[in-house]
Amino acid sequence: MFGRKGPQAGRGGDLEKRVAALEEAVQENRALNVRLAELTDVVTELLLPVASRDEEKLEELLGKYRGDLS
Amino acid sequence: MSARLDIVAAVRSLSQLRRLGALDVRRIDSDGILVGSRRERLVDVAFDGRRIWSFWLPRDGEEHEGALLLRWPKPLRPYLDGVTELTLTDPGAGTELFGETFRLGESAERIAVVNPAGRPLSLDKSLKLVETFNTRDAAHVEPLLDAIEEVLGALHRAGVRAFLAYGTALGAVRDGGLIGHDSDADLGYVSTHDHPVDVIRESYRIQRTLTDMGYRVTRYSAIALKVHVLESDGLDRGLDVFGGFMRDGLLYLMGEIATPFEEEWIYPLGTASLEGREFPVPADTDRFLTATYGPRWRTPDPAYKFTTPASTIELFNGWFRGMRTGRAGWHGYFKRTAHQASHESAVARLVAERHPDLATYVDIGCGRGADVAWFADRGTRAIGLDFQPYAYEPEEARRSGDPLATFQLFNLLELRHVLAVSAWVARMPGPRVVGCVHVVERLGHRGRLNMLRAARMMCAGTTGELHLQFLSHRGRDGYPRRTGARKALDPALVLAEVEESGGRVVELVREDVSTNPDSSQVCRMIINWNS
Repeated sequence: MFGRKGPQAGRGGDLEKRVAALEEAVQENRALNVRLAELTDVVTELLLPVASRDEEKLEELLGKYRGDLS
Repeated sequence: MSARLDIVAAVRSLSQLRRLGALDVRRIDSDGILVGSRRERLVDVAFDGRRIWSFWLPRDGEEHEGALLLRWPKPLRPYLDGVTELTLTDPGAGTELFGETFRLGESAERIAVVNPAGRPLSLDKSLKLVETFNTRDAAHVEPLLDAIEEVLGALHRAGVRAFLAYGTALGAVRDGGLIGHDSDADLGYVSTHDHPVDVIRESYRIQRTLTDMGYRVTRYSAIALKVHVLESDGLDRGLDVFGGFMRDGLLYLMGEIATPFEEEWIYPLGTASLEGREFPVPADTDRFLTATYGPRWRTPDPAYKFTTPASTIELFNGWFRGMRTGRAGWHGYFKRTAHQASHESAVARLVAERHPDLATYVDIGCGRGADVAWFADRGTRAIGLDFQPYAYEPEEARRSGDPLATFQLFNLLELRHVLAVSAWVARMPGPRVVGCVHVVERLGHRGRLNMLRAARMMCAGTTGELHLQFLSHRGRDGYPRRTGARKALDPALVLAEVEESGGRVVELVREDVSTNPDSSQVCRMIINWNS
């Protein structure tokens, strides 16, 4: 994992590369927090009302959600 | 104002320069102030008795002719043409270290560092030229205090217990007032949630509540907002609101603090007096200000620079930032090219020709909205999307009564925008075609995939397609700068991303934009997700 495969595996010779790969992976993982929050926000604010099949309400919600973006 | 700095030179000879204290000023010219002293000290620079700038020796100097050169900060340079009495003082002791009347440039007028309305400006700690508090009299301060009170109340109604933070807390606790060299007001809150996802969701909810109350809100990161308040003097002032939370014994407060802390040191909130009014501050102000500015927070420092550890910056970058990448660059582009005549793109003409039955045209990255206006004038409904409203606002205002032209804020770096705006477009009459001209060059992989995801959603259920144009070879003909494209993108990379999005390129054209021997080349792709 994180660059340990290959001839240098386990000998620590590629430690620098492994740390860089690890740092990159950590940053990617941290960024998932925003992705998950965004997705949850859209689901709770928009998709749940969609399930109620209230066309007028949906139009209104889409308009409002759009207007709140900044 | 002339930015001529070629001359300069003191009116009097160097030998006449007074050398007071240990500062040893060797020269003042168009480059800056050359100082012999290397002793660590804070220095205030004043023009005609008014503070303009502050610096730390030796931190802010650079090696030059065996001494330290303090370069004039870039924002100040356009003003340096005229005569002024320059004084350097030690703000701690209040002693004058140097004073001399001299001239920069050619003008015989006094140097006036003021904005177009004539209000005095000075450099804040980030070296931005701003209207700082020390030049605002009581009549100007009252509206700001009203605004702070109002936003604190609004945040309270939105369900968070906000308090004065950063420079505003420091000023209140240390001096009972606004810091003279500061220019904005900062508020903070500590969430009851302890996971970044929940704190971010709460920030979205706070934003909606504030918008419902009628405030204009700008999002700076996933947990930092600017709340705009129209002050009673008519000034639109933005108050920064920084979100925070406690987790595993650490306090995280966007965007500088990540430190071991106890919740009791924040809540229940105490109060501090700011210009005669009481405002909420964290319970233990000493610990809070030490966490913010270090143990020397009691000593004023107009040139303070945060020494936030790289690990904290990276943590906040990963958790909360990344949604404003490229915004300043595009703002600069639109400002620089405001005078450029804008006309419809080749993509717009091609779409009109290829889709005579077109019902809705969507321009992702519409800029000033030339294509939107062109389609609307032809009787086709057009939607302009851009993350830089500054660019499309003039056209939007001109088209306020035109039902065929609509503009919408749209940020490809925010999934909420991508999903909600695309769902809105997908309900418009079809066929719908999406255009995207000179946008993807300045996006990263995530932004480009979001663009393709948005286009796919917008075209869904119609025979619509995406018309994409980007720079594929950067020539020396000014085209990359003129269009804002800046750098070329390899078509092979875009092809791979289209495939990743489940799309198909049905046409690919590469063409030179001019007959110039080293012409720039654009690549145009027509992409659909129908098969």
